[in-house]
Amino acid sequence: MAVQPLYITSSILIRNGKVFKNGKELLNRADADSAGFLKALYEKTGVSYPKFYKMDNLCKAAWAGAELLVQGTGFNEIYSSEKKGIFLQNAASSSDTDLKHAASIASVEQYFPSPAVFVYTLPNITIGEICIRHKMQGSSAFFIFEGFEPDFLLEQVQIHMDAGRTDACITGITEWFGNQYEICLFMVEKKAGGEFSLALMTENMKTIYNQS
Amino acid sequence: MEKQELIETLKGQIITQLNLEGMQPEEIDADAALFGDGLGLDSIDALELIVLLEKEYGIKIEDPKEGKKIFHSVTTLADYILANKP
Repeated sequence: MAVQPLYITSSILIRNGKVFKNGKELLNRADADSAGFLKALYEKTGVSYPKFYKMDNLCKAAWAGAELLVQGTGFNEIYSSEKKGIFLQNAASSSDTDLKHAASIASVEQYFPSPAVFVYTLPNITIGEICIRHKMQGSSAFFIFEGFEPDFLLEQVQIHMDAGRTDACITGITEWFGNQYEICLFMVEKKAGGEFSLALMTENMKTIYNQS
Repeated sequence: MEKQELIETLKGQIITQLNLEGMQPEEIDADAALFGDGLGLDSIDALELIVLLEKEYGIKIEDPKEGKKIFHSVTTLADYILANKP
């Protein structure tokens, strides 16, 4: 099977209270705590989506990241739901919420697990929240690694794109644990984009990821 | 606790428990449907309300079929609490 050239046509990096889209600073709230930053991030999307407030921190950050990634692209207009894929990874899985759930059931006397917390005790719920928002019904997977693994993500994307199962996708790392977080997302398409376009290569993914 | 006082307390607890960000207690119509066209709550919210009843008022719903009637509105919820509070 021929390996076709693929392109990063949009990117988002969220780290240390800052957001960069396609390498340009979009938001700087380095002064805010986690809750304040997430609220600023949500407001930056310009979208009214009450479900956002019910998500855990990992999903909030990833959902907002995906929203900003997609804005200004033709992702939701050009591609059919079945051909839009998503391949994410992180290191902490859903541990941030897992620990909150564990704390809620630690005491026999105060045994009140929250269903709204429990539903987020899987990392791939992140994918679900993004897919619901952007009506994505194509291939998806969430992987756990010790750190950012662009080589692996690139391989996954290439396999699905070359097989014809996916025409465009979102890939990258979505991490949230305690007050530590980083979201680095790439939109990948088969055709080069307009204002922003880079060949899908690990070096380019690393360059975007390492921006600060 | 008087019924009206309980209704106001419940509105605040529902906003907090269900993360209804930006909503004020006075915006909730005590007689409006909580699910469907009303506040638009979902199945996870229903579970959260069951937890709220047990945690805050010590009431366990033994028959799940009762839920639809109990959680119809803030008023029906208040009526149920007043009738069943230990």
